[in-house]
Amino acid sequence: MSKTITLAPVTRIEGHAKITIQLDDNNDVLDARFHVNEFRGFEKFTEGRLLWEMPGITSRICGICPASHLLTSAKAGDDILAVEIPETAEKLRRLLTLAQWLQSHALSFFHLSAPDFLLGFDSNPATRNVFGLIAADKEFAKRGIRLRKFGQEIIEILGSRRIHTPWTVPGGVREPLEPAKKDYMLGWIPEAKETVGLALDAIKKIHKKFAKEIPEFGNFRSLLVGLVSKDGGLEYYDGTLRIMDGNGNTIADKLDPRKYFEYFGEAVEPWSYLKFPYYKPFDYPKGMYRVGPLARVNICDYIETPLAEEERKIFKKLSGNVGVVNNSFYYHYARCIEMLFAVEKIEMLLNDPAILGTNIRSQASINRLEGVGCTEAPRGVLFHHYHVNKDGVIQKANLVIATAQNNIAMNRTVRQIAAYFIDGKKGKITEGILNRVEAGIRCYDPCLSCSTHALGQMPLHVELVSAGGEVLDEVRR
Amino acid sequence: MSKVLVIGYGNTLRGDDAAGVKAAELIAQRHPEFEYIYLHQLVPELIEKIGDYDIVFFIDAQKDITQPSVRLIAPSIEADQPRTHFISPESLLALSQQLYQRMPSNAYVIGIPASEFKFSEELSAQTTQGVTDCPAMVEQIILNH
Repeated sequence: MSKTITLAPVTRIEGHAKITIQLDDNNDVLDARFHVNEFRGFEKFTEGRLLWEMPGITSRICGICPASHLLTSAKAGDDILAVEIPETAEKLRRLLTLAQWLQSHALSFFHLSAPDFLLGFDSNPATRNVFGLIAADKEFAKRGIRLRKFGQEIIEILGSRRIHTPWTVPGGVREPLEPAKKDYMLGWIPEAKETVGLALDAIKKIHKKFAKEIPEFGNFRSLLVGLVSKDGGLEYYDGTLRIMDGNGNTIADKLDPRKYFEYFGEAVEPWSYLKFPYYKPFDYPKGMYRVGPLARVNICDYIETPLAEEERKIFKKLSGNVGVVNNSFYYHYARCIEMLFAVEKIEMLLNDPAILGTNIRSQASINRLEGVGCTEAPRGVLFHHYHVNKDGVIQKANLVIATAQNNIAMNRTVRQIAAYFIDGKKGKITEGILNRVEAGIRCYDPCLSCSTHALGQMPLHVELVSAGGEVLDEVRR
Repeated sequence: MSKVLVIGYGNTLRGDDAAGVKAAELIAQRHPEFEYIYLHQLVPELIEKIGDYDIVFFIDAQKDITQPSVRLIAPSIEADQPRTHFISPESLLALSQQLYQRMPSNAYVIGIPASEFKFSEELSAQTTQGVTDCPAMVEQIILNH
C-alpha cells in the first residue's frame, strides 16, 4: 500500500500550491507532484476592454514582473496595429526588459536562494533566511538588495511609477528619456557590475560546496525553449524561437513566436489548476520543456556582451560531452550570467545616442483583428495573444506564462529530489528534506502570483499521508 | 512636524485587495505634505526608504476583520520563513534595522476589511467604508504622536 507525503502551501486568500510525494509499497518515492490551485479568470476579465488599456491592466497581474507583462502586451498591440515601432522606442523597451530581469534575478538569487547556499540546507531554519544571511555576510545581503533597487529604479525612471506603469503602449512608449536620468542610471553601473561579480564568485563557491548534492537537483534531459536573435545570440525582447533537445541538438529554429500555438499545447491534470504546456510534436508529457535562464543561456550561440560571453563559455563546459547543461541547479548560475549581461547591456544602451531620441511612438489604428506579443520575462518566454474587434475591443485573450511552461519540469525536479533525499521508511519529513524540495522548486523561481493570479503569502503545510489516508507526519511553517 | 510615509499596497485588479492603494490615494488628497508609495506588494528595497521617516503607515486589505484595525508593529522576522515573494512590514523594519541601523520612530499596519477578491476594479460596500474611514484614523494617530 503506497503512502503520500504532501507539502501544501496555503494562501492568505485564494489559490494555493502544495507538493505531494507518493511512496510505493517499499516506501520508496514513486512520484511527486507540484500542485498549483489556480484562480483562472484573468483572461475573461480583460474581454470588453480596449487594446490600449491592456498593457496597464496586464501589468497589474503580478507584483514581481509587471514590466514583462507591460512589454509583451504592448508588443501584441504593435502586432494588431501592424506597426514597426521607432528605433528609440525599441531601445527604451529593451532597457526596461533588462531592468526587469535584473531586479527579478537579484531577488531570486540574493534574497530567496542565497540563504540555502551560504548557510546550508541543514542549518537552523529559524535563521536560514535573509536575516541569517545578514548575520553571516552583511555586505553581500546589502549588495543584493541594492542591485534589485537599481533595476527597480530604471523601471521607475522610465515609467514614472515603479509598478503597473502604462508607459509602454501599442506603437512604442509614451515618454522619451531625459539626459539627466540617463546619466543617473549610468552612475549605478560600476556598483552593479561589482555586485554581479560578487554573485558570480559566490555561485562558483556554491558549486564546489554542493558538488555532491547538485547531481540530484533536477538533473534530467528535457527540451529547452527560448528566443534567440537573428544570428543566434541571447535574446530578451524580440527574435525567433529556438528549441534544443537535452543532447544539445537544435530540433527547431527560427520559429515565428506569433504562431506559438502551433508548436505548444497545454495539457491539464485533475490534481492541478496550473496547465502543463508541452511541445506538440513530442506530445504530452514527453514534450516537457524548460524555459528561463537555463534554457536561454544553453540555446544561444553567443552573448553579445564580453564579460557575460566569457561566463557563458564557462557555463557550457558544465555540460561535459552532452553539449547542453541539463541540471536545474544551474538555473542559478545562468541567472547570474544574465544579471551580468543585463548590467553590461544596460550600459551599452544608455551610451547609445539613439536612446535619447524623441521619436518614440508610431500611431496607427486597428489593422489586424488578432495579435501576439512575445518577450523573455525573467522566468522565461511569455506570450500575450489578443483577438479584437474593429474598434480595438478585446474579444478574447490568452496569456502563456513562464512558470506554467516549467510546470512539467518542476514536477520532475521535485520527484528526483524526493527520491534521493526522502527515506520513506522513517515516515518523517525533516527540515533539511523539506528545504531541499523547496530549493528544487526555487531553481525555477516560480512566480505563483503570476501563474495563479493569486494573492498573498503561501506558508507551507507538509503532510505525510499513507495510501489509506492516514497522516503519518505533518509539518507547518 | 513629523515626516510621514504612507505605503498603500495590494492588487488593484482583485476587488477589495485594492483597499490599501485606494486608502493611500484618499489620504493623499487630504495630506499632500506626506509622502506616498503605491505598490502591488511589499518589496525588499523599501528598507532603504522607511528609515528616513518618523512615522510609516502600511495600509493593506485584511480578510478576517469587520472594522478597520490599527496595529503598532515592531521588527520581526517570524512571518517570512517560507521565503516566497511575500515580505511582511515587520520584516522590512527588521531588515532596515539590521542593514542600515535605521527605523521609523513608529510604524503601523492599518488593516481594511476585505472580502471580495474576484477580478474586479470595484470595492465591496464594507471595504469602501473602510477606505473612507482610513484618513481619519491616520490623522488621529499623527495627532497622538
